[in-house]
Amino acid sequence: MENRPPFDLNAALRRWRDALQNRQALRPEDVAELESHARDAIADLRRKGLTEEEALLVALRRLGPAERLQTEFGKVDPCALWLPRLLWMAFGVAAYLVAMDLTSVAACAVALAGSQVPLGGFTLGWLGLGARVLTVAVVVGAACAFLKFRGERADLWLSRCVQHPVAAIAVFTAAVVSFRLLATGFMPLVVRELTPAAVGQFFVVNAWGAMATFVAAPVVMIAFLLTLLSSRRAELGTGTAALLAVLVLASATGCGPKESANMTASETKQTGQTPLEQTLASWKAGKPDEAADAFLKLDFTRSPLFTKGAVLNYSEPEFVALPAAARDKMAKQVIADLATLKALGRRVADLGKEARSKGDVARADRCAQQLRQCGDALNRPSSLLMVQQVGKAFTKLAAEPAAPGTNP
Amino acid sequence: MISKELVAASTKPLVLALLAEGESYGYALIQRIKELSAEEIHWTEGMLYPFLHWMEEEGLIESEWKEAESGRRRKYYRLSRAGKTALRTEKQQWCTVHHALIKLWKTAPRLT
Repeated sequence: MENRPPFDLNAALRRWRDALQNRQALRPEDVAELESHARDAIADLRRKGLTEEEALLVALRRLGPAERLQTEFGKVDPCALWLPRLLWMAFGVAAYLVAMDLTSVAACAVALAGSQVPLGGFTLGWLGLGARVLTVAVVVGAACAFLKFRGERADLWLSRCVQHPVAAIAVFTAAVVSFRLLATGFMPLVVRELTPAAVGQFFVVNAWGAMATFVAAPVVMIAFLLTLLSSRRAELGTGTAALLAVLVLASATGCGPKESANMTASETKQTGQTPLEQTLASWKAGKPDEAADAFLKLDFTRSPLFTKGAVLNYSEPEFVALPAAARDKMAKQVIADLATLKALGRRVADLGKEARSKGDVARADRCAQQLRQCGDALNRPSSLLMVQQVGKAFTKLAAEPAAPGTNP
Repeated sequence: MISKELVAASTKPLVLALLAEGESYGYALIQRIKELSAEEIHWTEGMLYPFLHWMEEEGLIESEWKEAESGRRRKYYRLSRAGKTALRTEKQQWCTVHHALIKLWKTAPRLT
């Protein structure tokens, strides 16, 4: 006790002031006024014979605990309490939107870089998802670090925001808008670099990834706030670790099962094209007879017509939901593919007529049957409207050779 | 001790009247009211400062940070023009209540 360092009144008051400054209802000016009051009270008590330390204890005791001061100050001026809360909320929403746009930018940037290698659409989609998760982790980590090392700064910065709420909201909005523009601006760039098929594949995985991030990010943010509340900045180190664990868990449970199911189905298909696609490929390679023969051997009732993720497999709403730039590019691809398919269909119909005129009824019927089945498979409510049209055309083609075949 | 409700109701006229004596700061106001009421009226800091800020927002008083003779800065409050008008109104109303009570209690039949 005797070796105790001399009591430092200013240091003690500074500690008390710092604690008060963290209270939302108390503006820096209020804290300064309370400090001036405390100093007056201390001076009075000192005149009554108390030591500096005793005087400080009594004076602060009379002022009451910080919680009570906060509620008292908040009662008279609810704005003082609600404005910072509102600003924090606005800041939270802005941060969320900016973080989400950042993840989109990251996903697109990775896709853009990967397209130069070049990598497949699915691979790019998965890399993009990885970039999203990484971005969320980096943003949350940066927030942790900021609050850990610059906690007092954050409060000061907030009190400055409270003094200029309009300016603060304007800055938040500007940040959100600029990041949104950046994110949307990236999309057409990616679309331009990728092949149409890769665009389709990329956007399938990307859409899942975006959804998972949108779901997982609020969970992470809430967990972040909870750790912040419980540790009151003291043990943010462990908080960060817990947070990262939650982040990994959330992203694993949020997107894991759906996407892995999606992947196994698509990945196996990705290695080989569907039989119909192979047939179309050989038609494009300039082997029409081979393609027509292959077409006659296809089983349209069992295997899917097109690869999962291929544009032709999209439903109308899915197609409409694509970004405009991607849609334009893919529409061209759809039209080209359908033109090939129609040409192939016509060729098969011609073969049927030829067989019928030669009296080969079995072959003619086979042609008509294949066209009808293919038409049925194409003309599903879940297909793109353009694909449904081709399906109807196929059904018509199938009916054509039958008419002259049965009548004469 | 004065009841909480009466303290709340009388704070405004008392602060206006205290500041009518001349500009002052929070600590001095609390000391002065203690002295005037023989320690019967006790204002807490948590009540007075927010109340002063509310009065300032209402335009009844004005504040200014000034350096005291000791070299420390204090926030001084003084009556504004609207505050002086409000003080007159308060005075009228409190006098009305006061006179009514005096009359009642002087003429009221006593139990003892």
